[in-house]
Amino acid sequence: MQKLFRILLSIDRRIIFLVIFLALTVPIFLRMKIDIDVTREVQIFYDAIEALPSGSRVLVSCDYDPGSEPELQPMAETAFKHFIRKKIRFAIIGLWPQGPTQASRALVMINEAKGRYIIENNDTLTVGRDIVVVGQDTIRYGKDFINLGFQSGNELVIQRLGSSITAVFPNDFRGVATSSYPIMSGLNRLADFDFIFNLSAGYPGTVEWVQFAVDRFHVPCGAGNTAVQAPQVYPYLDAGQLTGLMGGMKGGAEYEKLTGYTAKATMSMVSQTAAHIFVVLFIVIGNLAYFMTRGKKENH
Amino acid sequence: MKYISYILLLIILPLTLWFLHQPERPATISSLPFDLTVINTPGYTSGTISLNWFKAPAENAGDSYSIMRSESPNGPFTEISNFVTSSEHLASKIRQFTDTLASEGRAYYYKVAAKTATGNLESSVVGPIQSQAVSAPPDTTPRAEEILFPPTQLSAFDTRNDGGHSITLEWKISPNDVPKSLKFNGYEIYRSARPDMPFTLVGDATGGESDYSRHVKTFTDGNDVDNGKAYYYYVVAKFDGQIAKSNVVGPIQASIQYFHMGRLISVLLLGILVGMILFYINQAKAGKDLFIRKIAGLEAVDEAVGRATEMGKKVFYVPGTQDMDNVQTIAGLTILSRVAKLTAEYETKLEVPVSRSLVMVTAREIVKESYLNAGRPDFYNDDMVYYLTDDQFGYAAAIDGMVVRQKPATIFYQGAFYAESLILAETGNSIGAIQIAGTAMPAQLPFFVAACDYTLIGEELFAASAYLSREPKLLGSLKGQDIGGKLVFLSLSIIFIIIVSVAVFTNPALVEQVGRIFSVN
Amino acid sequence: MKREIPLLLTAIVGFTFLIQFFIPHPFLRFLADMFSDWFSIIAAAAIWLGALNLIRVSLEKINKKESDWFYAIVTIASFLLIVIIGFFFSGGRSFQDPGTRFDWIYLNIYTPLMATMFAMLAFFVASASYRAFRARNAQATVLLLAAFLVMLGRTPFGDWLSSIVFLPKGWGISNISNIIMNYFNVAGQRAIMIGIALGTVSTSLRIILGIERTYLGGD
Repeated sequence: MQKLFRILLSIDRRIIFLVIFLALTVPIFLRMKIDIDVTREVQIFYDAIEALPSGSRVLVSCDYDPGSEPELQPMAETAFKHFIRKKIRFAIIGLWPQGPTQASRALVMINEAKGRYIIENNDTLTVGRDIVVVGQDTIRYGKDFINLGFQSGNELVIQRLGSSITAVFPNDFRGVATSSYPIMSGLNRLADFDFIFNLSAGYPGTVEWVQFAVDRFHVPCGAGNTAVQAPQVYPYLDAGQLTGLMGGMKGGAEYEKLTGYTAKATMSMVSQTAAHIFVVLFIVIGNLAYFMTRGKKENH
Repeated sequence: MKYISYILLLIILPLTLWFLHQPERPATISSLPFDLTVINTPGYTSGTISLNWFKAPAENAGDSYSIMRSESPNGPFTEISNFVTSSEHLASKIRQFTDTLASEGRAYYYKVAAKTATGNLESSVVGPIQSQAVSAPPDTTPRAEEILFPPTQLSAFDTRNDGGHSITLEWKISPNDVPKSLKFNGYEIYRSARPDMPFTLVGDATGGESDYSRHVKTFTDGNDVDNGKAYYYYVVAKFDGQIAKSNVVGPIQASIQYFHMGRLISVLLLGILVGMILFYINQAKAGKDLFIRKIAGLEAVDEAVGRATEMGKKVFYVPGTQDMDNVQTIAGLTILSRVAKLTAEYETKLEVPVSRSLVMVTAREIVKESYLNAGRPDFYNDDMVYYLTDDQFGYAAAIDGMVVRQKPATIFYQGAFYAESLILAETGNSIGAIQIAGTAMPAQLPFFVAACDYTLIGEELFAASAYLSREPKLLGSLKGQDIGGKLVFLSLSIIFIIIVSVAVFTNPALVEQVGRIFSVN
Repeated sequence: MKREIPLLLTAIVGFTFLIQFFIPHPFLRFLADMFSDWFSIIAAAAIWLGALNLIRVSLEKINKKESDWFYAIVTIASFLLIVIIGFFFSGGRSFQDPGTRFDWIYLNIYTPLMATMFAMLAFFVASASYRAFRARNAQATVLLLAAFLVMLGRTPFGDWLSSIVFLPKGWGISNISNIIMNYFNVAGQRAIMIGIALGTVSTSLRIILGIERTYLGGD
C-alpha cells in the first residue's frame, strides 16, 4: 500500500497530460451538453447592450491573437450577432496586430448568406466581408460596420483616439479613407461612441481601456477576457468602471445563453468541467499520498 | 515630532482633498413624481396645450390619472379630464393628454393625480404656460398620435479641463426619448455665431442619457470651434416624422484651461509621494542608514549562478515579453546587470533570449558593461543576447525548446509576462533547473509561485536595483515610497473607508462624493 | 556625452508626459502625441533590427553546424516563406483579407500553432496543481480549499454538487467561488496592485531623474 502511495506521490506528468487530454476530447466527440447559470457580471454586460438604442455606435477593440481564440472568438461572434439584432453599428479596431483579422473571421463565421457574392445596385458585394446576414438582419460594410484595422502604440492609441479617430486611423483595414464611409459621420473622437466592447487577452487590453477611455473620456466599457486575465479586472468591475465582464469560456457560454445564440462556448463547457474535475482529483490523490507517506516517515 | 507631523498630516490632508475636488455639475430638474411637462401643441391653429408625464410606479390597466388645471399656482384646481390606462397603454412609459379647451392668451397651471391600486400619487404643479398657437416645424407629420416634446434645460459651457476649441452641451432628454423606442431618432445640434443668423448643423447624438445620475445628455462640439468666439446653440429632437426644438443658449466661448482642475488631487497626492521619495534620497545621501528587509529571491541569485557554474551548465535569463516602455522590463534588466557580472566572474555561459528588438539592444549594452566591469570583456559575445520573436507563444515555444534540449541549470524570469509564464516555468521545472522569477503582473504571480523556487512579487522586482546595489540614493527612494505611498496613502484610505462605511447607512450621497474625490477625471 | 544625452532625453520626454497630464495646453498635447509617434516609429523600425539579428544568428548556426542547427533552417525557411507570400502573393494591401494566401497561412498554420501553445496551459496547470497544491501547512491548506471551491464553482458541476449537498440558496459552490474571487481575490490583487503602482511611480521617477541608470549599461 505504501508503495502505491509513493507512486501516487510522484505520478509522471505525462500520465496527467494523457488523462487531461481524454477529459477534454471525449465530451466533444460524445456531444454532451450541460446547463449553466448566468453570473451577475455577464448579466450586466448583456443588459448594457440591450439598453443601447437602435443606431448606437459601439467601438469593438479586438485585443487578442489566435492563442486566445477558443475563449474570446465565441464572445466576438455572439456579440456581433447581438449588435446586428439590435441594429447597433460598430467600428472594429485592434491594439494587437491579429485582432482585426480575428474580428473579420468572426463576421465570416456568423454570416448566414449563401454564395460568395451578392449584386446590389450594380455593386458586387463579397459575402462575409462587404455584407453580413444574420437571421432577418443584413449589415453592410461602411454603413453599419467598419474595420479600421490595427494601430501600434498600445495605450497611446486610446489616448489619441480621445482627440481624433481619423488622425489615428486615417484609412480603414482596406486602405480606404476612413472619413469616406457613412458610418463615420459624426464620429470624430472616442467620446462620440456610445459604448466600448473590448476583447482582451493581455496587454494592451481591458485595463488600459478602463484607465484611458473610461476614466478619461467617460465612455462606458464592457469586456470579454480570458479566464487568466479576468480576476485582474474584477476591481474595475466592482468600482463600476467596467460595465460587465465575460470571463473565460464560461463567461462566453453565459452570454450565449442570454442572447439565445448557443454555439462554441456552450459546447466546450462539458470539456472544461471534466478537466476541472480531474485536476481536483489529482490534487486530492496527491494530498492523500502526501499524508499517507508523511505519516510513515514521521513514524520512522 | 515625527508622530505629531504624521497626525497633523492625516487631519489636514482629508480636509484638503475634500475642498480641492472639482464639484460635479448640477443635475437637471425634474418635477416629481411623474416629471410632468407641458407645451403648446405645435401645428394647431387654436391654442391647445399638451401634457406629458411618466407612468406611476406599479401602474396597471384600469388605473387612472386625473388631469387638473388652474389659472393660479395655488389653485383651486379643477379636473378637466380623466385618463384611464388601458392594456395597450402599458407598453409605453409615457402618458399624454391634450387640453383643447384652453383659452388662447390665458396662462394656466397643471397637475396630475394618479389613482392606482397601490395608492394615490399627485404631481407637483407645473406652469405657468400661456396658451398660444405654435406652428409645426416644416416637414413634420402634423396631428401625430404621440406628440413630440422638446429637449429642455439646455446649457452650454466651455469644455472643462481641456486645451480649448471645444464646447460642451448638456440637456434634459425629451420625454419621448425612452429606452428601446423604435420611433425616436436622436438629436441634432445646431450652432450659430449670432442668434439672428442661420444656425448650421454641427453634429448628432443618439437617444438616451449620457449621465444617469444627473439625468443629462451630453454632446461635445469640437467642430472648428475658435477660442474666444461667441456661439449660440439649440438642440432638435426627432421622433416619428416630428421635430421639436429646445431653448437657445449662448453666447458661450471656448477657452484653454492652463491646469486640469479635476486632477488637482492627483497632483497633491503625487507631490506628497515624490516629496517623500526625494526627502529620503537626501537623507540617504547624508549618510543615514536605511533598513531593507531580506528578499529571498534576490539573496538566492548568487547561489543560483554558482549552481550553474558547478554543474558546468548555462544560465538562461528571460527578461519578459514586453518592450522597453514597460517599467518591469527595465527593472528586470537591472537584475540582468547583476547576473551578468556574476557569470562573468564565474566564467559561466549566459544566454539572454529576448522578445523585443529594443530590449535586445539595451540588454546587450548592459551585459557588455557588466563583463567589462568584471574585467572579463573577452568572455562577452554579442550573440549571448539574441532576438527570437515578438510573438508571445512563438517566444515561449522557442525558449521551451532550448530549455528542453540544452538543460540549463539556472533560469531567471524577470519582467512582464502573460499567459506564457506557466508554460516557461513548468518546462524549466521539468528539467530540474533552479528558477528565480520576478514580475509585477498579478495574474501571473500564482503560476510563478507554483512552479519556481523563488519569486519576486510585484514591488520586490522594482526594489531589486536598490537591494542589489545598496546604493544610498536607491535605498532612499524605497524608503520614501514606503513612507509616502504606504504609510500616508494607506492611512488616508483607512480614514475614508471609515467615513464611507458610516455614510452608507447615514448619508449615501456622501459615498458618491468621496468616490468623486478619488476619481481621476 | 554617451550617457548624458540619453539621460537628458529621458528627462525631457518623461517630464513632458507627466506635465501634459496636468496641463491640457495644446502645445504639450502636441509634444506628447509627437513623442508617442516617435516611439511607435522607433519600435516598428526596430523590428527589422531583431529580424535581421535572428536571420544572422540562424545562418551562423547552420554554417557552423552548431547544436540544433536544424531548427535554424526551420526558422529561416518559415520566415522567408511568410514574408515572400505576404509581400508578393497575397494581393498587396489587402493581404489580410479572407481568401488570400497569407490568410490561408494565418488560418491553417499560425492559428493552430498559437492555439496549441495556449492549450498547453491546460496540461501544465494540471501538473503544476498536482505538484504544488499540497497541504504542508495551514496557509497551504487554505489555498488548497480555495482552489477546490473556485475550480468547481467555475463549472456547472459545482452547481450540480451544491444541489446534491443541499446547500442553502445563495451558498452554492459557485456563489462561494464568486465570493472568493470577488472579495478575497480582489482584496489580494488590490494590495499587490497598490504596491506595484507605488513601485512603478518610484522606479519611473528614478529613471526620469537619472538616479536609475542601469538600463544604460554599467552602474
